[in-house]
Amino acid sequence: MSQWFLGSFRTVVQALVAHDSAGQIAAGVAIGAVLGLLPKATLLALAFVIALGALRVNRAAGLAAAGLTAALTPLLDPMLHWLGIRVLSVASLQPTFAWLYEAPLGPWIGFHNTVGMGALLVGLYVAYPLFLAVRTVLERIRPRLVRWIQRYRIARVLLGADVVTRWGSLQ
Amino acid sequence: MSRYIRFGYLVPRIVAAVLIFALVEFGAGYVLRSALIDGGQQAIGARVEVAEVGVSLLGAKASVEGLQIANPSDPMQNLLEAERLDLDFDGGSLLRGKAIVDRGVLRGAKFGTPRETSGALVDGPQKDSNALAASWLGGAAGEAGKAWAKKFGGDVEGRLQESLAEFESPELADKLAMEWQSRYESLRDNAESLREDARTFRDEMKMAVENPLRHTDVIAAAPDRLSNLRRQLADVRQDLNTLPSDIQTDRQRIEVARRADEARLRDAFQADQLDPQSLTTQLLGDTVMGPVGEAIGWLRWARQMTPTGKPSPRVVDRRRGVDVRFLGVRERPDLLIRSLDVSGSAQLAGRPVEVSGVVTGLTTQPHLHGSPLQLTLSTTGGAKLEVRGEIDRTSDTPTETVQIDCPNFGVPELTLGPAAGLTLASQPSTGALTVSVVTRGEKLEGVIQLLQSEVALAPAVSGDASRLTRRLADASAMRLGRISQAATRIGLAGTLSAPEVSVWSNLGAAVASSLGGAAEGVIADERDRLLAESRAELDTKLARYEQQLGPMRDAASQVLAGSGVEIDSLASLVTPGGLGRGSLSFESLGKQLPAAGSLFR
Repeated sequence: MSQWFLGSFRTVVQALVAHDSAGQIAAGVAIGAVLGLLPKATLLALAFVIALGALRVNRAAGLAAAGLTAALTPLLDPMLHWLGIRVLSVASLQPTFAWLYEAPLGPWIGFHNTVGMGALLVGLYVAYPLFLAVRTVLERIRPRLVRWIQRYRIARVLLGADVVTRWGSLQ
Repeated sequence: MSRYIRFGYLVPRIVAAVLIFALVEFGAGYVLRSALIDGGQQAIGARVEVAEVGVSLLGAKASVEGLQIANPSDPMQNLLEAERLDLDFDGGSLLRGKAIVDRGVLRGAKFGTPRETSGALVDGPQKDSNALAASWLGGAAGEAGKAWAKKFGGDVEGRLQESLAEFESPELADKLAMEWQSRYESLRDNAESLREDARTFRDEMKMAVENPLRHTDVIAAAPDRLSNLRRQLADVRQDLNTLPSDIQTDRQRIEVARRADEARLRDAFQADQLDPQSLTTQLLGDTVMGPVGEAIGWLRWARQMTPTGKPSPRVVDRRRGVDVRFLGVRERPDLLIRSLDVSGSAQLAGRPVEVSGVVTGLTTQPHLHGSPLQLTLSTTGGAKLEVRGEIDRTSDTPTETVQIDCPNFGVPELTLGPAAGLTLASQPSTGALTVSVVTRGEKLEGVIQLLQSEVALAPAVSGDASRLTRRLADASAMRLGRISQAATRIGLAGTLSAPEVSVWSNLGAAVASSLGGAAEGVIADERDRLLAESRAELDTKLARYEQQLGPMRDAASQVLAGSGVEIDSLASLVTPGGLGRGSLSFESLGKQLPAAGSLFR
C-alpha cells in the first residue's frame, strides 16, 4: 500500500518538475484520464496506451491520471453504462455499428460494450476541457509549486533516491 | 513529425511486436496441438492423439499430422485415424475472433483401426451400455418359437413313452377283464348253487312221495319251489347269455378309450404351425440387435456431441457493462468448417474399400451457422456404399437423418438362432442394404432393409441333440436348401432412450414352413409307430383275456346245463304222477280220504 501510494505521489511530483511543457502535461492527463475510464482488454485502451507512449506528452502525468480515473470507475460505471446503452441502442446508428463490428478486428475494439462506449464518449467529451483546465492551472501554479517542492527534503528524496525501493528492501 | 511522436518509443515496440508475431507463427502449433487434444478429448470422451501441428498465421492455415481419435465405446479401437488434416481458415474471420475454415482436407482416413494402447480416459465419461438392446425386440416375441422348441426339442421319444404310459384304455381293459372273469365266476357259482338246491329239493321230494302224509308241507310247497328254481335258472341262463354282449359293449368302451388316448397324444404332439414372426425374431434377433444397438448408440452419441444451442441474447453480461449485439450483425459460430473433404480407406464386410466424401457445416454452434451438418461418403473398391447423413440443429427440434445405400453388400457367414431348437448356418452371400433412419427430438423412426441372394441355409445340431432332433434337422435340411433369397426388414420406432425394434423376414416364414413340414412328418412317424405298438399291445391283452374267458364261459354253461337237467328232473316229481299216485292230484287225494268224523267212530 505504501509502495503504491508513494509511487503514485512520486509520479505526480516527477510530472510537475519535469522539463515538459504545461501543454504536454495537460495532454498526458487528458489521454490518461480517457485510458483510465476505458475497459482495459480492448483495442481502444491499447490505442490510448500507444498514444500515451508514442506521443510527446507527459507519460507520468498520463499514468497518474489513468490511475486516478481507474480508481473512480466503480463509482462511474453505472453512469457510463447508462450512457453507453443509450448510444448503442440508437436505431439509426445500428448499421454503422454493425459495419464497424463486422470490420476486421471489430469485435476487439470494445465499442460494443456499454461501459466502453460510455467511457469513450465521456472521456472524449471531457478530454479537451480537461486539457485546457490542467494546462491553465499548471501555467499559473507550476513555478511556485516546483519551488515549494524543491524546498523540502522529501521532494529531493522523491525525485532522487528510490526511497520506496529501500524501504521495500528493509521490510 | 518527431515533434509530436516519440519514435524512440515506437520503433523498439514495433520490432518487439514483429518478434512476438514470428514467435507465435512458429509456436502456435504447440498451442493448437494442446487445444486440439484437450478440447477433442473433452468433447469425444476418449483419447485424442496428434503427432504434429503446423500453423501459419500469415497464410491462415493449419495442418495436423498423425491424428488418432479413440472410440469411446471401444477403447482398443480408433474411431478415426488420419494421416493429415489441412485446414484453410478464412483470414477475415480470424481477425473477427472466429475460426472459420473455408475448406479442409482429411487425407488417409481410416475407420475402426485397432490401437496398441487403450484410448479410454482415466476420468472420462462412460458410454451408455446397450445391454438392454435385447429387450427392444419385445419379450413375448420369441415365446411361441421357444414353446415349439420345448415341445419338439430334447427327449421327445421319452416324453412320447411317458404319454403312452398315461393311456387310459389299457387300464380300462384290465379293469373290465377282471369284471368279466368275476361275472363268469359268479354265474358258475350261481349255477352250482342251483344244482345243489335242485338236488336237495329232489331228495326232499323223494322222501315226501314215499310218505306224503308226513311231508304234506313239502309237497304243498313243491310247485312254488320248483317254479322258483326254474326262475333262478332262467335268470342265470339269461345272465350267461347276455354276458358276451356285455363284454362286447365293454370292448367298445375300451376302443373308445383307446381312440381318446390316441387323440390326446396326437394333440399333444401335433406339429403346430410355427409363427413366422416369432421365428424371425428368434433367428435374426441376436444378429440384428448388435448392429442396430450400436447404430442407436452412435445416434445418441451424435445427439450428445452436437450442441443444440439457442440464439444468442441481445446483450451479454461482462465484468464491466454488457456487450450489445447490433441489428444487422450476422453472428458467426466460433468454430466452423464449411467443407471438409475426406479420403481414406476402411473395411466393409471384410473387404477393403476406398472412402471419399465431404462433410459440410461442421460447427460448434450450428444455430448460428443456420445450415445443418451434412455428410456424404461413398466407397469404391470391394463394395459400393453411399452414406448420406444430416444433423440439423437449426430448429428447436434436433433432427438426425441417415441414409445408407449399399447395392452390393457382401454378407459374411452367419449363425442364426437358435430358433425352435435348431441353429441355422448361413453361408456368405451377397445382398443389397438400404438404411433410412430419422430422429426428430426423442422420436426415432427408421427402416433397414437387406435383400440377400444366393442364400444357403443349413441346420446345425449340437452333439447332445436327441435322435428326433437329428431326424428333424435331416428332414428340414432339404427344405431349407430350397431357400435361395432372403429379405429382411428391420423397423425402428419409439424413442432414442427406449427404442422399439421389429424384425420381419421371409426367412422366418420359409424356415417355419420347412421346420413345420419336417417336424410334422418326423413326429407323425414316431407317434404313429408308438401308437401302433400300443394298439397291438392292447389287442394282445384283450385276446388273452378272451382266451381266459372261454373256459370260464364253458364251465359256467356246463354247470348251468347240469343245473337245468336237475331242475327239469324235478318236474316229474312235482307232477301228480311223480308223487306215486299216478294221476292223483292233491285234491283227489283229499277226496279219497274218509270223512273226518268216520275215522274216529
